[in-house]
Amino acid sequence: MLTYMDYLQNAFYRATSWDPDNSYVNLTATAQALLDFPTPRGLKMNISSLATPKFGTSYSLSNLGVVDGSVSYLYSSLPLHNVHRSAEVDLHDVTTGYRQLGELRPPDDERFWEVWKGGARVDGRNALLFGRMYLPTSTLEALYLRRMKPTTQFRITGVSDGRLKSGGTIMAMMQHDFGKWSGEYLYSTDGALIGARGLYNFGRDPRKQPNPPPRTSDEKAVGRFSMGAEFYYGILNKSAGMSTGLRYTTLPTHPNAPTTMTLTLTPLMGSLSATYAIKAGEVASFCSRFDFNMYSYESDLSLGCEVWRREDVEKEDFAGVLKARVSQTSGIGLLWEGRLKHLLFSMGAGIDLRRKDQLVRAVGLELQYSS
Amino acid sequence: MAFNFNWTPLTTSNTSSSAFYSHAKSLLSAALNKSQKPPIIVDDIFVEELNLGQSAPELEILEIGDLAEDRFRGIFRMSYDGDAFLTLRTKVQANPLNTYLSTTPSYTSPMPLAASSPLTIPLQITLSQFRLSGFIILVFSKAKGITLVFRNDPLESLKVSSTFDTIPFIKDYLQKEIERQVRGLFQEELPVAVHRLSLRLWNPEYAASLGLDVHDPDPSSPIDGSEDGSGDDANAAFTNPLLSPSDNPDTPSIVFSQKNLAALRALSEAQKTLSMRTPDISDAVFRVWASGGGSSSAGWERNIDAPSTPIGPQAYTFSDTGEAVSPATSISSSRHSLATPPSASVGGGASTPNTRTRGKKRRHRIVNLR
Repeated sequence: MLTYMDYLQNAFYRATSWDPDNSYVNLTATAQALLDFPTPRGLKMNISSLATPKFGTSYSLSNLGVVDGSVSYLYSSLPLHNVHRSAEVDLHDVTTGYRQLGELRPPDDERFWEVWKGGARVDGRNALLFGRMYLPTSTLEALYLRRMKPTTQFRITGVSDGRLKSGGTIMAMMQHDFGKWSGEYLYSTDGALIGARGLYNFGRDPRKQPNPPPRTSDEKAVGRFSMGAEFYYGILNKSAGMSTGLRYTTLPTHPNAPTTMTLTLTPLMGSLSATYAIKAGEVASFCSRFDFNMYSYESDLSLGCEVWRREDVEKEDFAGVLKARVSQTSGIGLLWEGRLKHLLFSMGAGIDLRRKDQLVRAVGLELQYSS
Repeated sequence: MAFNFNWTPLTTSNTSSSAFYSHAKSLLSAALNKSQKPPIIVDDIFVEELNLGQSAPELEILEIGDLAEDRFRGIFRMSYDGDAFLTLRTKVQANPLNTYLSTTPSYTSPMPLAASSPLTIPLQITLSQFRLSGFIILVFSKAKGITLVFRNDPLESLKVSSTFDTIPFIKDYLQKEIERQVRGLFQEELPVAVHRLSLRLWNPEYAASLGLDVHDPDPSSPIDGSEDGSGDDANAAFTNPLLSPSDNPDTPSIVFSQKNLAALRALSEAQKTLSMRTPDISDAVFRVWASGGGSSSAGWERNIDAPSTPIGPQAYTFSDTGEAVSPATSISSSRHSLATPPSASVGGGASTPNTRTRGKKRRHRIVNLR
């Protein structure tokens, strides 16, 4: 389940019409949501609220360790009106599942963002500030997000912790999104790591109007091919890494069940990963992944599914979702998320059948309340 | 004066050594895995093979500075040129980005999609062709245990071979890194480990629980607690402290030469006397007047009869007198306090008749270690 702060950040993206799906990081987002979902450990409780449309707070308490807690604050220069309380929020917004991608949207023209008043430009750029303090360990996490142009977003994240060498790290990232392709450049102070990522979508450029525009749905694309690559280089520790990926996903105009297929390669390490995900109706999605390493011949097969439970058939109100995964290396994982009166809860367990003495590895319950 | 090691129990051809080797291997594996491993090592370190070789190290006593019932101080020269080898087996992470991400906080991690996928490679390292040569200062006191210090860096050379020998960059890196670690081991870890082990062994409660006789009046055998004063035990066996006696019934025992032990005891008992004249110890230089007299307290000098103490061409000096002096001052101050009762003197080299030689000219004898 997404934390309240992640939910607010997604609301900010929606309000500023930034598409996080059009980035190489989320190339395999569907498979990761269905197969790599984290199960809670221990008991965790969150109380959050959006005090004003621009300001949100969240407090959490968990019993991992002795007592663990955190306090977080978020400020957005754009009022967030698409945020709902935990009693009313749509469960699809707070849980991750099959990501249905839509048509590529052309980025806004920069001139539409100008606001003139009395002959002078008075527009500012939207920004988001976030800070979280973990109380027993005195770790501080901070985020500053600024939408500089319709196609550019700047992001700085930092962690301050006395236990880290040099006290903390900062990572700065510049993201570009032009619809047909997107790119990101990042720099992290930990080991002076520089990175670059890019994603390219095959097909029609949304910025160019086709001539003539397609009238029949036969001419509209039903699927989209995307290809991307990433490259990192740590200057101080001389470590490099890269990977490439390919994805085919069906668009909403596809007549049959939506499917997503991805293939990612890491040439330096010789690892290969292929996923296939399908959404069966409104209530279930299935996914499978095969990993293989060409140098060490290690392989892994993971299968995952999620099943939604309907509360009320007419109102299309969903009460809960059950996620399950099984894999060769990490055993069985179960997660049940839903809403109980005003609370959002998620209960999960990790089971490892190979270790008879410690069958259930991690059990947890997480409760969220937001107003 | 040199030691003769009976190395045959440790040679691999001997069947009794296999129990010792398996026990030593498990002890060494446990010791290597106890401390925090660097994140690049993803699996435990196992000792695949341990062989102490066919030849023993050569150990030679250069000087005995203090010999008492509960104190012993000596300088030894050790050299080893044998075929001992050690093989370790572990798994390392070949993706440096994976190692990097495991140490960086997750909030500022770049979240690579697949560039940090792990690749573990099994690694086998063999350390062989040890060439050791150095000077050991051994200080034993019943209260404070054994302190063993290397005067210089004992490791002359070492051969490191691994599964990455075909890649010269990694081969050189491993050679340098492991040489550095082994040097640090000899100079820092080994003295600490020996000290702790000795405290554990010669702590009276611990010794009593093992059945060792701690009230041994015989000063010549500080490491042989099982031999009582009468010495009529023909097979005075020294129990290896690494192997606890309750464990394996057929543990190999290292036997000291009975003749040497008797000679040592006679030597030390010869100094416990009220007689004016005490027999000289041949082939030895007394610590008191060897260090130039800067640290020694007044009254403990003794005129050297030069022919009685031949040292030969070899000579040694203490370049770092600060280090050498501090235990000596403590011992000399204790000797000073012990000298006040005019009756029996404890320890070698200091007896009341020496006070008469105070006025005589001091002989300085500076000797070089190399």
